[in-house]
Amino acid sequence: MTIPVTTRRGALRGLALVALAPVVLPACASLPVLPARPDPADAEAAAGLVGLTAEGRVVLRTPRQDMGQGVLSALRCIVAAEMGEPPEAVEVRLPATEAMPPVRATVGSESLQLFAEPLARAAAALRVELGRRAAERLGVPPSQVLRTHHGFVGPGRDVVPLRDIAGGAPVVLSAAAVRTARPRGSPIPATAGPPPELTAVLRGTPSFAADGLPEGMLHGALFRAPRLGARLRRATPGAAPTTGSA
Amino acid sequence: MTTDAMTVNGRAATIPPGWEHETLLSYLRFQFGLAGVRFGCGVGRCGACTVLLDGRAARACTLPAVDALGRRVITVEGFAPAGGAPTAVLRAWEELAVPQCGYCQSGQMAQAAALLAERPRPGRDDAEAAMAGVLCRCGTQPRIRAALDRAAAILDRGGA
Repeated sequence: MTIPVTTRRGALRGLALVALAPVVLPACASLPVLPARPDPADAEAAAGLVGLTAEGRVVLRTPRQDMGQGVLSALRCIVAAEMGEPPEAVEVRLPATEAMPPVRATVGSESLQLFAEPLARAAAALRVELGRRAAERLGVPPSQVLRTHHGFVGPGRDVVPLRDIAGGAPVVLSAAAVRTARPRGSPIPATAGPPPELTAVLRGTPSFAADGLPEGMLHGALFRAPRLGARLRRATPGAAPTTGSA
Repeated sequence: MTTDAMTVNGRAATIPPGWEHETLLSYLRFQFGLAGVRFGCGVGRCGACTVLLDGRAARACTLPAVDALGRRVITVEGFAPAGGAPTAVLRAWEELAVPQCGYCQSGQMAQAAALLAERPRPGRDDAEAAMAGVLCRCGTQPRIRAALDRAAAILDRGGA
């Protein structure tokens, strides 16, 4: 049998912790709490992501800021695929920073992980709701209208444009509509093609801040130290224009 | 081709005085204005800077520009030549809307083109091994795999 031996150092450490606890533990309560991640099952929140403007344009209210992560493009493609619209037909509205609830981060991959599925359900709900309204205008059951470019078409080939469905008032989704439109976990349909900004990136068109080469900008180069602790002794700024690389 | 010149997307190119110690990445971006060659980690680990050098994948951020003399360099700008049809890889990447932010995708496409040049019908393991060195923080790897398969199918049907 081993008898635990308490050293003097260990005992002092324990006493110090006990003495500090009444001060440290209450102070922890004043630390800001990390905001909870959004709940993908929150139909109320999902319903606010998409709608139809009074002018009949599909609008996506992005839940996250986009600073080049591609959140905007990726979410827009999801709405476009569900709505049967080209990506450029979906109007994107970025949130005002002061109007947003605090978020942990506005990371591209996490944003898609959290919002892709609820957004797809909301977009599907919007498609169903707009189809129902189009059918009502045509006086036919909703099952007899089909999605067409910028509207719906009935059995008699009568087209109801989205503009007429809106009729001057925005279409706002309800949480109940989102809950029933599309089962959770259904596959998100593939987009018909990338929005123009992604085509530009793929073809090498300058698209990022680092790609900006304003006229007259001098070339910058990084000089790596030849050895640890090396110091720059002198530089000859006048030599730069003579390289012909400006 | 002489050893004091290279071709960049089919254009003959020499290295001007003062650029001898630059990397191929700096040379392509700042001398040629080819923004499709991206700077990522700068140490050849992330693959964003990948270009084709004589048809093989090369990391432009660590390769001295002079090492490309006498060789053929192709960047993503060369995947859609003016007046020409886009290559199978670019077509597949566009059709499947692969990118999210897109920063790494020029490297992904160059790596994919090199793989397909070597193995026109790469198996899953070949594809995984070849593409593993080009990182994508957005998580588009499933679409990259699908686009690689699509590009292989286009080539199979006689595409460029």
